[in-house]
Amino acid sequence: MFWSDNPGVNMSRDFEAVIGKDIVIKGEIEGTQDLLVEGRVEGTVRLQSELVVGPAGLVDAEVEGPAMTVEGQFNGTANCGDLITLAAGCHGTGELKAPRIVIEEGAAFTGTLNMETGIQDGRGE
Amino acid sequence: MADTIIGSKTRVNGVISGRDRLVVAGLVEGQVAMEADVLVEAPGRVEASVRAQGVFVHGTVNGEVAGAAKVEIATDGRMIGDVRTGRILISDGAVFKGRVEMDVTEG
Repeated sequence: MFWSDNPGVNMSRDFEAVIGKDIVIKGEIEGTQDLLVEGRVEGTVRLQSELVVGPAGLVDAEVEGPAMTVEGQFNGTANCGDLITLAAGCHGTGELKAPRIVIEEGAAFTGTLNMETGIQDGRGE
Repeated sequence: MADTIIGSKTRVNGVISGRDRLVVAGLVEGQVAMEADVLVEAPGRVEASVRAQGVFVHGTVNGEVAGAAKVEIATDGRMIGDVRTGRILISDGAVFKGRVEMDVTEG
């Protein structure tokens, strides 16, 4: 497949916390260091650092933290203080809340986006 | 393939299962069920029941370790709990408290 030649931007980064491809975690994850998920996580993820869902990763969770990047699959709710990025090729469903949300061309997403801009959407005014 | 690493500033509370090697440098609470090895690196701590191929303890494990082909408690390892394994190696300086049950299935 074409993307096997292109492991993605995050592969060049060093992560001190990694959930590998064949691993399933059901429960709660907390941390203050960036976390790369290439396996499967179900439950809640609360970080004071970035969550990266790698191309093979599947996160079915409630996520809280400053930033999240999705290259694989994300289903659930994410509340990030800074930035959520849905990268090309990713699949997402659910509710995303962050002041900055980036959806790259080629990303698939179904759900609600809330950028907390303080601007009313106008429909109710 | 990359290991799964629970970093030193990461805590997992729940069930971890899978076929990759698991390295714990942070804190894991709950249950660990792996078809590969589990390495607890100092200052990592596992407060969980652990089932794995091999369990290598450099940090701390409080819990029951079962079904392991091999358990190694290194000099800097500390383990409290019952162990059921084929082979066990406890290094000088290691701390261990618990029962050891060795599966003797020699043909």
